[in-house]
Amino acid sequence: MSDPIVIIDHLRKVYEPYSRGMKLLLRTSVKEPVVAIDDISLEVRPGDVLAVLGPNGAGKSTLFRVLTGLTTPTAGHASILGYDTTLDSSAVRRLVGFMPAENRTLLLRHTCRENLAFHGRLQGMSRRTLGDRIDETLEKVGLLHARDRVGFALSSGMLARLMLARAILHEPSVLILDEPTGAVDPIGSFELLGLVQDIAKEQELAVLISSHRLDEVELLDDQVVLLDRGHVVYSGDLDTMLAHAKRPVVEIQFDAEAVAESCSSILGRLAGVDGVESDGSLLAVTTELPMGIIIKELNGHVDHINSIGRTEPRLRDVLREMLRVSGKDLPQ
Amino acid sequence: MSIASGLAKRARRGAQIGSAFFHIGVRDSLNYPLALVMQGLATFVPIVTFLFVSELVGENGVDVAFDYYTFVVLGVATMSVLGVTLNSFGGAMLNFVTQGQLEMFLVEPMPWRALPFALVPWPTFQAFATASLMVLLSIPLGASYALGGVPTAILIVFMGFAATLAIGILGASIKVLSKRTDPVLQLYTIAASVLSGAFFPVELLPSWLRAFSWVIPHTYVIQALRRVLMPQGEVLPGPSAWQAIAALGAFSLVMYPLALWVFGRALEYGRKIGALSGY
Repeated sequence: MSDPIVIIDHLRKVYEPYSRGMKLLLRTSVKEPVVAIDDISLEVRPGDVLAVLGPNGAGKSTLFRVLTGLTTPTAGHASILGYDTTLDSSAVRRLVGFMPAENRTLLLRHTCRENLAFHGRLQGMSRRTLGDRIDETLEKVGLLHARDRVGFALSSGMLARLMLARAILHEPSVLILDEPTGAVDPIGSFELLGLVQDIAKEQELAVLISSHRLDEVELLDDQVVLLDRGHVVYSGDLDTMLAHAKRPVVEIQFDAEAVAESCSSILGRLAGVDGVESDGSLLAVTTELPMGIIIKELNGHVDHINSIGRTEPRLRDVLREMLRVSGKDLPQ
Repeated sequence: MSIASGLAKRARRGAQIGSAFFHIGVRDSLNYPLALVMQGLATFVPIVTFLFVSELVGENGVDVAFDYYTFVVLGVATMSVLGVTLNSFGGAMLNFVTQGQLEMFLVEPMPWRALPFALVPWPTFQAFATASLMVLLSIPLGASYALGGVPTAILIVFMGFAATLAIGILGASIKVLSKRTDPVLQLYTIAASVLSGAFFPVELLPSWLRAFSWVIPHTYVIQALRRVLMPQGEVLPGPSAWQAIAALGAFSLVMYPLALWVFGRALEYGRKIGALSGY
């Protein structure tokens, strides 16, 4: 097994309330220290795609900000190819390709070529190598045909591809993608993630990708770190995590909340049903019973069911299950 | 690696970063042609306004080298160009923060302290071109200049750019954290408008106030430019061109280490408390 490219060792980041002097310049709502990440340790090897999963506020972006040198850890350390992200920030920034969540980080009034040329020059690439490399990279992400189109003329999916092109242009060793599919439609998302996987394999990159969408992470089918309120709740392969979390859930949508309430008590008494949760007019029934039996049971009690079907676990369900396994509480 | 080759490498890298931002700045300006045209048209306003003011003031005073119109056009043109040098870095930083681009730049492997030198050249060049246009347009309206003084004037202006950029970096250091404003540039701009003698001779100021004029780089640039560019400029009081250049050089030598240190500290502090991306 090859040596890890990214090593994160007992990393902790606490955002302190502003000092009195700083409050004179800018107000903040932070009154107490906020622990953004706490005692996180992990490693990423060449060719690995590590999905960093977690709800908003889990600490994904802070982790990436430490790795890109945009903030400093309060304790612990992180390194990329042996370079400390705090002490050797400049060297680290040469090794990292970063794709932020927002496409407004691009120069939207400039063409794809201009965006990449600008980035390449800031990366220290010579004009001679830059010309060929830009076309090669745009071709790789499927944007060569749009190379002279300005950012504003591109779709969200194309902008995401352009940001990916910018991240890989200088041939980094590590690719950090912060919710890269945020503004992209589902088909575009899957295409983009497929592209990331191909590039990671081809160039032996260590990839860290954050997401709060479980379906995306399933596509990546690699290593997963599940974060919650700055802590690692699970670290390992995706299949094991999903095996923990996959519960047979049937979701039933009724017309009204009152109907859902009465059906909840009926189904709650049914043998083979492990639990019923209601959310307005929606019931989530944990059971391995065939759907036909559930419908039969409800027959005569309701006139109409809007929809019924088995659901895949949601991130919140996975998180809940993993927290249950680790003996912690679900965040409110 | 020898010190010389190390410096040459740094200079090449600096030029590469500077030209990247300069190129982007040019393209950005060309993307808004109406704004460019309006900026050019705006140069007419002060030179026409002060044409009438000069008629009111008269042109016989020694303190204005017998030509108030040329005297004031040089003052206004210098104020406008140095004002851009002073404010463009803080303005650009604020723009990048609000557009969400600052953090992307900070992820690039370039020294953060190179940012002021990379972001300011294009707006300063633009302002220099506009100020030159202002001076040229004033000629048919009655202003007269000593063409022989142009090379020295250009040197004085460049020294002025350097000195005011140092103050601009100090101001931007606060703006990185405070986001909207900074007291350094605000107070300096107010002081420079009154104390630099852009619109009237510094000698008209009370003597206690006049002393403050000579701690402001603007004053040296404006006074020296008048002395080299006005046909009878040598009658004006104040420092000679070379004295002004020396003073501006000394000012830069003291201010740059301080300004860059403060700027570096502000970015490091913003990085630590996570305040670089918000606005």
